[in-house]
Amino acid sequence: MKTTHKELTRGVMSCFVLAALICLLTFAAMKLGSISVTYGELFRGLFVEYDIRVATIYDLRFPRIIVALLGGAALSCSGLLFQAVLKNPLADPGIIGISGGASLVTGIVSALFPTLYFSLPLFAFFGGVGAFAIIYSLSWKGGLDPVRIILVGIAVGAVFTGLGEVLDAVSNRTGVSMSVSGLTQLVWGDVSVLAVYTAVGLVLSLVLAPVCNLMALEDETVRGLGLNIDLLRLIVSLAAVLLVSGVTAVVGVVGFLALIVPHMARRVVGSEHRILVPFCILLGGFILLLADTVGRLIAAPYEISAAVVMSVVGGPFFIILLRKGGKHLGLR
Amino acid sequence: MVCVENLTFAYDAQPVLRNVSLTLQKGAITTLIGANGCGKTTLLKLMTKNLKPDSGRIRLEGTDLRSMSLKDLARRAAIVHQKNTAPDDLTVRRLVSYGRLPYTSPLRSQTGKDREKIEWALSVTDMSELGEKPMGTLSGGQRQRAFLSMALAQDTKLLYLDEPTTFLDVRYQIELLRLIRRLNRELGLTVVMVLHDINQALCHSDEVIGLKDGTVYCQGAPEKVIDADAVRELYGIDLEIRRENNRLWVMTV
Repeated sequence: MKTTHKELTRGVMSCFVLAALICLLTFAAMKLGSISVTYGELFRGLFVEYDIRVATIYDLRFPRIIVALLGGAALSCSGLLFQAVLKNPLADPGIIGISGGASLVTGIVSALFPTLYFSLPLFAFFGGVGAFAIIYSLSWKGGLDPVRIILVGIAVGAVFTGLGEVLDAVSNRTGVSMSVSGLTQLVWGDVSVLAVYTAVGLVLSLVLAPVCNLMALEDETVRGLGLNIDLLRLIVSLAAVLLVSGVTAVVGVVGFLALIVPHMARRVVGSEHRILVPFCILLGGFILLLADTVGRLIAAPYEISAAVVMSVVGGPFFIILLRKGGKHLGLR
Repeated sequence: MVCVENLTFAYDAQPVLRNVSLTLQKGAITTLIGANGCGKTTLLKLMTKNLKPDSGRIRLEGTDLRSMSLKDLARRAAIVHQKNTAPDDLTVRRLVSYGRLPYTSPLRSQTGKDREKIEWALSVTDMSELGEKPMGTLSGGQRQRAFLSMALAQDTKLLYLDEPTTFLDVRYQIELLRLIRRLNRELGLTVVMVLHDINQALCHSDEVIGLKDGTVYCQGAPEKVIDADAVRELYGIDLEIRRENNRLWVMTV
């Protein structure tokens, strides 16, 4: 029991360190940008007297920071859950087409019924569940072959993306778009929508963490322990879809994050999900906010979207991870 | 202990088991033998509710499996599969602690009795000293013992083993089979296993059940039911059989 205890302590410590880093980054992200203020001005503008510059920051930059934190957390956590239930280190809601399904339904609903803005994540959820059902049933042949899931997912995802582009071309509208994945033009309304769905999803994930541990065993072994693995897999999957849906409806599709963060997290804290889930949530928020902040600053006054930063930095990083720790990732 | 009655099962249109009926003795080691594809593993999967029979039924101590929940079954019968995976950094003790899941739930913590059973299961399989070792550092034999230990932590009277020796070299094979023997003798554990090695099956079983084309060809004490004819029927090959001191050897080389 001793080692387990030590590992738990280490995991909790890692989470605290990461939380502290998030605070620092958040403070930096509040200050930095095209409108530059000192912390003194920021504090006075928020709590003492009205300041037009601080008000602009409050209206534009704050929602963006919070959405980045929530969205990063939700995406990374969903990636972790998908990797667990599909027993597949390459599972990512973007790659296997879940985001595509969620995004397509979001696009259709917002084109036809623009007034349903606040229920968009709900429709995205149905889209995600639909996509998951299609991918799962097409990949099932007496068992889940990890490679088949990825291949089917890529195909299904491509269809969704194509349909989404058709929709974009036909409806010719601005607003929620499949192809634009950015954190610009966010308002406080977006924060509250995302917060509700993400909170539910994250709490579910934390509760389900011990179940994710069992997913690492063979299905038959888990069944032999008296657990209905199919039902558990369904519940965890729905939690993962819920997490993606909220983000997709508000932010759009952000690639790589959900794939890469769980791998980074596993390298730091190991494969115990009771630690891994909270750590992954924190790390995801941190990395998306970092990507967004860097994207805002690096080529100012132009902005590089967080998704682009994620792809450019995340791709090579992921390759390094794969080369260094293939066995660790369960790849042969 | 286990009663199989008129069991029939097919994968899609391919019949695997046809009208199989048999009874497994309490307190004995029974081994299922037969050629590849004769239905041994399928029968084991049906008995552990990993598959559903097309017709017929299986009763465990009088209760029909269909009316038994997975959890109930897991408290009465444990199984060690042929293929086992676990995360490399999972400690042996954590893995063995999963054996208590039929009595708790993944979301609840363990009681003192659970911890007692875990330590007991570790010591019986001689794994106590390796309790804190990550699974990734174990040898093949130790790995298989860890999974056996998990099954024992389930505290059942019945243990199923699906080709437990397949991926082990000969020393670990023998050690594992001796351990199973000991568990059967000392704890009165009823053991039902599938073995590929016919000599191991003959040596370590109280009873063998020979399956051929999805039906029971023979059942009984190995020295009574296994002879050259039985081997030819079961495996489709003529092999010499030697008897010495009331023991039986099939010359497989």
